Amino acid sequence: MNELVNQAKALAPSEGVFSTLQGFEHWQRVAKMISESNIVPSNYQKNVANVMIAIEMANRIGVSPFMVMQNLDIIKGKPSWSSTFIISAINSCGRFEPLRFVFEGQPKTDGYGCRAITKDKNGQECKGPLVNWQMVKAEGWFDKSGSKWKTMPELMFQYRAASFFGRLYAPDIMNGMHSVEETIDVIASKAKPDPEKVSNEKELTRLEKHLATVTDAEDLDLLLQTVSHSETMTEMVQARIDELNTEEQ
Amino acid sequence: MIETTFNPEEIRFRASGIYHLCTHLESITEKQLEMLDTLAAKEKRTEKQGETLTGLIAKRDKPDELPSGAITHLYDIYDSHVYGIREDIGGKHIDKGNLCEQDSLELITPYFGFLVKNVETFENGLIKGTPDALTDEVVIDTKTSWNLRTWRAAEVTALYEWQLQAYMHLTGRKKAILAYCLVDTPMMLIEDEIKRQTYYKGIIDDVSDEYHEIEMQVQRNMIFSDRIPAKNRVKFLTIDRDEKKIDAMKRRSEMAISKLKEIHELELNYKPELR
Repeated sequence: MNELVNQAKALAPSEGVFSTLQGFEHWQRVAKMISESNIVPSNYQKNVANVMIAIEMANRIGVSPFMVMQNLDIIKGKPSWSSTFIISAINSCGRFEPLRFVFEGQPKTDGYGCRAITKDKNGQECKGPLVNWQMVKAEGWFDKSGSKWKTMPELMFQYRAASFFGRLYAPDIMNGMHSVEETIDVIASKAKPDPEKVSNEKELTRLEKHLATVTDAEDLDLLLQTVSHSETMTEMVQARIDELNTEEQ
Repeated sequence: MIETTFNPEEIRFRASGIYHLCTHLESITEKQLEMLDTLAAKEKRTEKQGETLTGLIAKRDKPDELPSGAITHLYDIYDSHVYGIREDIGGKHIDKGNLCEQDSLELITPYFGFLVKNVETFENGLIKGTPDALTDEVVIDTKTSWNLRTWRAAEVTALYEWQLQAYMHLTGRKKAILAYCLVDTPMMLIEDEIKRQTYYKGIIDDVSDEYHEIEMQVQRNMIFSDRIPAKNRVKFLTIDRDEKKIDAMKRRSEMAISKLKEIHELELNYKPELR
């Protein structure tokens, strides 16, 4: 990947595509040609405007437009870098030694997590922020449906640690953008929940908490009548009644 | 196209909006009534006193009519049914109310036992409504306050008083309880608030000290359960059933249906004119 980035830099546009009229016209022609290609990612096919933006990005960070197009994904309208691109861009920018990932804390505890570290060219250690389970849970990344944090946590820790490192130490490379994984997590956790679904879920939790405090069989019989409209709630109350009966025996 | 099949007779007014139909019920004030009695009791009156008395009698005997606010409300109902136009009244307060309904019910559990969230819509005559919870004796409506200040200032407003009178009318209860609850704000809304405040103050760096300070303060302002005991975050306001008010809402609802018919006729026969 580093090698590819270095090769890509040689193909980078030398001036801003929007800075002069001639430059704009020239790159527009290039963009039109690229957009006709069917080997560029679908976000750029038949979309001159997207290609122009990719060329501009490439110009700003000094890599080939193809590199940008391969690694810049649009997640719900937000441009986001792939994490592998962020890592390779940091590794090849010449300002740092290659990134290393250090895991800290006890596995399976909230304190367990990862940070990206390296040294700059003066030998100074650069330590990225720690990403741990506590943060993952508090930010709601774990709970979203289809979360990769459930299936490949090690990789997600490293991707996120790299992304945070990049935002702190190499924001010029990331141009203020986030990684794909970060954007997916954030957008999913920001989605407005359905109040009815929230209400139904919370009501069951509320009942569960309440049942734990009830020890009087008569109270439970009354409660059984109150919740008779709901099968799940009836089952919960019935289960508590059975539990109390077993305890008595 | 105007929906010609619109039938005002099928409209059922929501308890939450019944207040709009029930304002300005009394055309004459208590003070004016007193003056009327005093003037009427006089054996001899000056010319001016005679005029005042005639004016006050006319005011007292004026037939009930819908106030302008009620007519605006009826146009909203009409536009919603006929044209599908509904103004979005959503916002952070409404979002918190919707998302925290169960948290509020949990907060009042120690006082009423486990309350099932009522989902049944009650209908009686021209009025309908879905109260939050019911016991055998009372109807309970929870209101989730946005923050500590709004919770402290919470009182029985005319809007809620009428809403709860309507619930009592619908459910046959003699007492209603308005429970103002202060519960933790969902994280999603806290994040929105942080974004709003940092944007307003022009802070874009989310790892800066200023950003962190705002983040912490917003969280302190919107999360309460870690510092304020549950009992200090609930306020119960009782409202007794008032048959006079219930009669008035029934009467005004009937008047409102007639007005809706009139609005529909006007709309169907509308012709632009120079005014």
